[in-house]
Parts: sequence; structure tokens; C-alpha cells
Amino acid sequence: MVFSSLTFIYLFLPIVFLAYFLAPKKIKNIILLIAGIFFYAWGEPIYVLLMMLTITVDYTAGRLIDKFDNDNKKRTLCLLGSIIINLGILAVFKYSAWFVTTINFFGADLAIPQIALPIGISFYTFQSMSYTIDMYMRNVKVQKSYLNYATYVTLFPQIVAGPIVRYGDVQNEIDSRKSSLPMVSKGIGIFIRGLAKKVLLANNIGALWTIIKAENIQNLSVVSAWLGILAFTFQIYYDFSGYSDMAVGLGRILGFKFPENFNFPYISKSITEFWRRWHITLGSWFRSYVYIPLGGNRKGKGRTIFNLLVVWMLTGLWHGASWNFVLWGLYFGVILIAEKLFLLKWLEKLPSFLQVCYSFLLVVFGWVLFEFDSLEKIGMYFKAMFGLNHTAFIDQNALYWCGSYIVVFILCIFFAGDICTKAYKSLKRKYTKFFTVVTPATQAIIMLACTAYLVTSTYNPFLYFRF
Amino acid sequence: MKGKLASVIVFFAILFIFPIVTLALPKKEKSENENRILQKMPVLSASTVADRSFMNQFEKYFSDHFVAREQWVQGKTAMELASGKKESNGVFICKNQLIENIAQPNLKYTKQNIQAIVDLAEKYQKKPYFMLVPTAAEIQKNKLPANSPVFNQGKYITDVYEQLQDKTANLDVYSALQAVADEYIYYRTDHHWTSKGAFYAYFATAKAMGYTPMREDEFIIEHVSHNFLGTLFSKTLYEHVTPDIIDIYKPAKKQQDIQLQIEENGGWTRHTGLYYPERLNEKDKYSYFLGENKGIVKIQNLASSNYVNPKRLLLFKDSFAHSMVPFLINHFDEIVMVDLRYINKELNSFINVQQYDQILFLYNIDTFASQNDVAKLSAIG
Repeated sequence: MVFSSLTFIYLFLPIVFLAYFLAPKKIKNIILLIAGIFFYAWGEPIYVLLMMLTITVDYTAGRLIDKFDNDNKKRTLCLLGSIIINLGILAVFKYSAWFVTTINFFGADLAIPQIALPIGISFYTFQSMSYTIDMYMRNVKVQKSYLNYATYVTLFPQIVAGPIVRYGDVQNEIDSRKSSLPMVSKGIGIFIRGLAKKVLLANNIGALWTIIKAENIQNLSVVSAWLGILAFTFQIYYDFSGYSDMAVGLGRILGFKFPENFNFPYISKSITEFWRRWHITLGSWFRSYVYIPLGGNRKGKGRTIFNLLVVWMLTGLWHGASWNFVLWGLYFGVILIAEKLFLLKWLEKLPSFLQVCYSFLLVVFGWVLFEFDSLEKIGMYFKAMFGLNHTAFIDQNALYWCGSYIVVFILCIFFAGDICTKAYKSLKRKYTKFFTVVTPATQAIIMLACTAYLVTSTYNPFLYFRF
Repeated sequence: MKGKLASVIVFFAILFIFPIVTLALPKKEKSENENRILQKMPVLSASTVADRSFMNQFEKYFSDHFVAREQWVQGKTAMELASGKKESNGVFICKNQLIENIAQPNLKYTKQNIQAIVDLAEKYQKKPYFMLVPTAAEIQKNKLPANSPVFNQGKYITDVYEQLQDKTANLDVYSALQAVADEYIYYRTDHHWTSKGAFYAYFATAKAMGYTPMREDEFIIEHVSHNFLGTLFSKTLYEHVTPDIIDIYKPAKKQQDIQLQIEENGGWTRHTGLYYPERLNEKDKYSYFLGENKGIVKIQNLASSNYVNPKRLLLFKDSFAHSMVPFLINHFDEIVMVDLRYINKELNSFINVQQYDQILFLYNIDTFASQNDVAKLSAIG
């Protein structure tokens, strides 16, 4: 099931909330487990079993690691077993086609497997693995209840699109949590904010990228090429952070405090800062479970650089099973290394505005690597952006798209910064009474606006049946 | 604290009101505006769950019957226009007019269609007439929003006519329509031309087709409807456009006794007259002209003096022809309309091409440039 759909918002949520809030405390996790499995199975009626397999493997590994607390050999075997099975499943279902295509490039002639990617597999696998790894490192307490462990993995707010919630983040809340009016109210606000980001901003600006991407790249004017990649820059931010917001908001309503996943990444003053503000839970996962075990920065410069490159290659690969994602990851890896070694010191001497421009531009260029899966297309698109395709600087199409999307762009730019949030917070403190009415009213208006878009996305006149 | 409570109450109220009302209201069978049957509640079974068809259809069911569906669509269009968008669902919103943003031509299909016409001409040693009609997006382009990304239909027509070389007698309606671009020649809420638009095209091409056209004052123009909301209204549900008027041109002095025979399921249905008055009470008013598009429709003017040796026209067409036939029927005793979108059998199994005095291909650019139904003639002809 998808968050931004009428069925989820107006059927699934009311029913689940009703059952959840009416149920006695002991039953609440069962309700969540059923809801989570139903939610996942709605999209993957067969592969829901694969997810249950992952859950069973890691729950068992956790119990065994706990049991063999004194036997390091056995503990390590359990951990390895869990990692191999988890990564194995991920490798087969997500990366087999990429792997085969790659070895074919070197001369082999194997048939490329056509395996459908189960929804959310990158998210729930990483979440479940975090439990076994943290059990091994003695960072978390064992979960003896299979039901509670399964509830953790299948929590419907974050199973499909994150944030990557580590077991340690919610281990107390899984067993006992408290709901309160302020928490529910805050959750509602975050949820509606996420829904608006997804439906009103991401989907709209994304429509422009869809149009431009379909054009012949070599015919794009310079302005059109920039409009396109900027549209994507905002689409992916609002789409992903919108979903994360919805997850965090829903979690709060249910009594969970999930970690935030985005913190206004586009106002970053360096790429180092960007990756502390973008998909925070992924960066933190790789830091804890790959970078630091590899030695982090404690084994000399050369080893640090190697560690960073490995982490960034994997980060890129996590995003997609294709070499352009690896390139994208390495692109940032190299920039980060440069910043760490000398670039940051220079940047800090520049005015803030230029630092933000530097960072934003590098991110935009990165999205070109992200969106096109062949070096040829990547090259063509960069050429279009820099006027090397012998096209006009601006053309009629570009003017039309500017006119049609200017308002959406302005909104995207405005909300990408934290001005609005800061202003809202300080105004709210000053004029509390005013906001008692304005906040719920605004939330209602936004929900209605989003609903209009969701209904329309299914409005489909079939004109030629009769004509 | 009061604000927080208000947020919670408002949120849950919205979350519960809409589904309860939706499920409580009686369900409609079809959507007039969307011109389709609305999704029924799907059947729940192991196989429909395994292949996701149950889930997909259920989601469709819930959204098809969501309370106030069309009002939500109108709300969204209003929001988009407020944000500077000039189009909704592929239709330009212009001043008191909706104009369709037709798709860029598919050059492969165009080539296939042209080849089929050439093949037919060669096979039957006849020179067909070809009338390619531009749409409002071209003729009334001054009404479009600034910089609209539309393609040059004039150039498309010239290119197509050139590729046909002299295998066809190409009819120029572009100039005639352009000369009267400011008149009511295209509907405001529908993608078709009006009867007046068809009249101008008829008048301009009559000589080339070998007859003298009737002047406008030789017709009695009757307004049969004042509240036609057409296909473009359906796509956008945009209400701030004056509804269209449907006119018919009746010859003032000539007698007409028109009989239609429509091929249906292997047999023939009959209908008297060119028009279907009952359609004027429905949403789809354009089908007042000669009914819906069917594969083969035979039109006979039994009051013609030439009934013994009738002059026959074979007309390969799309729906634009329905506005033109009322003019053509004054010069032919029998017209057989063939809509290739609905034909899947051999042409010479139901048509003896040699029996026809003239062949006319009448298409608007959207059909000819984006679909390759005309190309079927090669396969089946």
C-alpha cells in the first residue's frame, strides 16, 4: 500500500487507529503486527513471506546470540549466519540482474535474471540486520517475544520507505510506550506536512521533470535542461522527506519516536554537512556498521580514505542496482575526502551564500549521475546544461514551463529552507491563542487540498470509446 | 493544549467523515463525464489476491466512488490554474474556450497511414480525395497561452500532402478555416469543429470534388442545443466556459429522405434521418450527428432524383466527418462511412470499391498523426 492514496488515508488509517486506540495495552502490538503485515501484503501478497523469513532468521539469531553470551565463536557464527542470509536475500532480489550484467560485460554470456524487486526490501533488511549486529555488539537487549520483534520490523509507518529505524531506537517503546495528546497532535502535524510535501510539491514539480526527461536531450535549451534537473532536485527531496515525515508523524501518533531523516539538506554549506542532513538514518547506519568496524579514521590517512570510498560505494549501490549509482556514491566519496583533507578549510573563508551555492550545485550535478543510467546520457545531459549541444540558451518550451511552474518552484525553494519553520515556532510562542485556531484550520485546508489531488490522479475520462 | 486538541479532533474528523459518507452513499453505475463504467466491488479470492488484481480493483473502486469525486477534480484544476498552470489534463484553458493540446505527431504512424492510402489508390486505380483537417490548437492559436508548446500543424499538412505526391487529390481546408479563424468554427468545450467550421471546409473544397457547393443562405440553420458540454469539458470539468450551441444546416429548398443502415453484430440496424435527437438529452451530444462511431454506416438519400443510378461516395473517416456528411449528402445519393478504428476484416469482403464514384479520406490531424488505424487498409485491403 502507498501512503499517498485514498485507500490508505481514508480506509486503512481510520480502521487501524480505531482498533489501536480502543484496544487494551496488551493487544496494541498485535494490532500493529496485523496492520503491518496487511499493509505490506497489500503491495506484496507473495513476498510478504520473504519478509517473515527475514524476521524469523534475525529473531532467532538474536535469541541465540543472547544464549551464547559466553561463547564468542558461536555468537560470531550466529551473526555471520544472519548477515549472510539477509544480504544474500538482498543480493538475489535486488542485485542479481546488476551482477549478471556486469560479468557479462567481461565476456560471460549469462541470461539476465528478471526478478521483481519486493517493496521496501532495502529498508526492512537494514532494519532487521541492525538488531542482530547490535545484539552482537551488546548495544541492545534481546527481544524474547517473537510477536514484539515482528511488530518492530513490520511497523507500517517505516517499512516501505524508511527512515531506517534501528532496533535500539525503539527497543523500549516496543515493549511499553505511552501515547499523549501532545504527542498525537505533533504526529498529526508532521504527517500532514509530509503528505503536503509529497502530494502538493513533489508530485507537481516531478511532473515537469517527467515532461523534460521525455524530450530529446540534445534538443533541450540550456534553461530547459536546468529547469529539468532542478525540478528533479526538488522532487526527490520532497518525495523522500515527505514520506519520512509521514512515517515519523504516524509513528508519533502510535507512541513511537522515530529519528528524523532529513534536516533541510539544501541549506548545507558543504557536502560534509549535506550528508549529515540527507537520509540521516542511512548515513548513520553505514557509519555504525561499516565505517567504524572498518576502523573509521583511526588507522591512518590511507586507510581512512579507503574506508570512506567503500562506504560511499555501498551508499550509492544501496540506492539502486546499477553502476551509475555506484558512480554517484563515489562522486560524493571523493568530494568528501577532498573536503576532509583541505577543502573545508578554504570553504569556511567564503561568505555563507557562496558556500551554500557550492554545495547545492554539487548536489544538483550529482542528481544527473543519479537519474541517468548510462555514461552517454549523463554526458549528453551535462552538455545540454552547459550549452554544448548547440541549442539556444532559452526557447519557447522553456518559457512555457517557467510560466507554468514558477509558483511551484518558488514554493519548493521557500520550504527547502528553515525560515518558515523558525518563523512559525517563534510566532506560535508569541501568538499562542491565534494559532490555536490557525494551525488546525491550516492543517484541514492542506488535507483537503491533498485529497483533491489524490482523487484527481484517478480521474480518467475515456474519450474514444464513443468518439 | 486547546490547539493540540483541535488538531487531533479535526484530523480524525476528516479521516472518518469521508470514508463513512463514501461507503454510505449509493454507488453509481457509470460516470457520464468520464464516459466509462465505474469500478464495481472486486471478487475476493486466492488468485485475485496473489496477482494483486483484487487490491488494484479495490483501490479503483474506492476512488471511483469517493464522495464528491468531480468536485474534488474541479478543486484541483482551480488550484493548478491559480499556480500558473495553463493546462489541465492535456487541455489548454483559454479565455472562454478549451483547446486540446494534441500529441506530437508519430512520424512512423504517419508514414504507415500514407502508405496505406497510396496502396489503395494503386490497387483500385482510383485517385482518392484527401482532407486533413487542422484542430483548434492551430487555427485558433492566438487564443492559446503564451509560448504554448504546440507543433506546426500547417507544416504537418504540407509534409503529408507532399509525401502523397499525386496519388491523391489533396484538399486544402487550412486556408478556408484560417480565413474565418475568429468565427465559431470549433466548439468551446469539445475537440470537434462546429457545423459552421465544417460548412466552410465543404464550401472551399466542393469545386475540387466536382460539384457546386450550396451557399450558406440556401440552408436554414437550426439551433438544436444550447448546453452542449463536450469532451474537453469532460477532461477538465472546467465550468467557466459558455456551453456550446449545436447547429444543423437544413437545405431550405431541397427535399431529403435520409436512411441510415448501421452494421451491428453481423446484421444491419436502420435509422431515419441524419440525426439522433435522443442524444441531446445525454452528455454525449456530439453523437447527435449520425450517432456513435461504428465500423460501417450506409447513408442513402432516397429523395434524390438519381436513385436509379446513384452517385456514391466511399468515406474513410474519423468523428470529424459526422459534421461534414450533412453537407456532402446534398451531392451524393449514397455515402458509405468506414471507420477503420472499428474494422478488422478485409475491405473487399464488404466493399466493392469499383462501385464508388469517389473516395474521400477525411481525418483531423490528431487521428492521422497519432494513430495508425488507416494503416490497417494495407493489411486488410
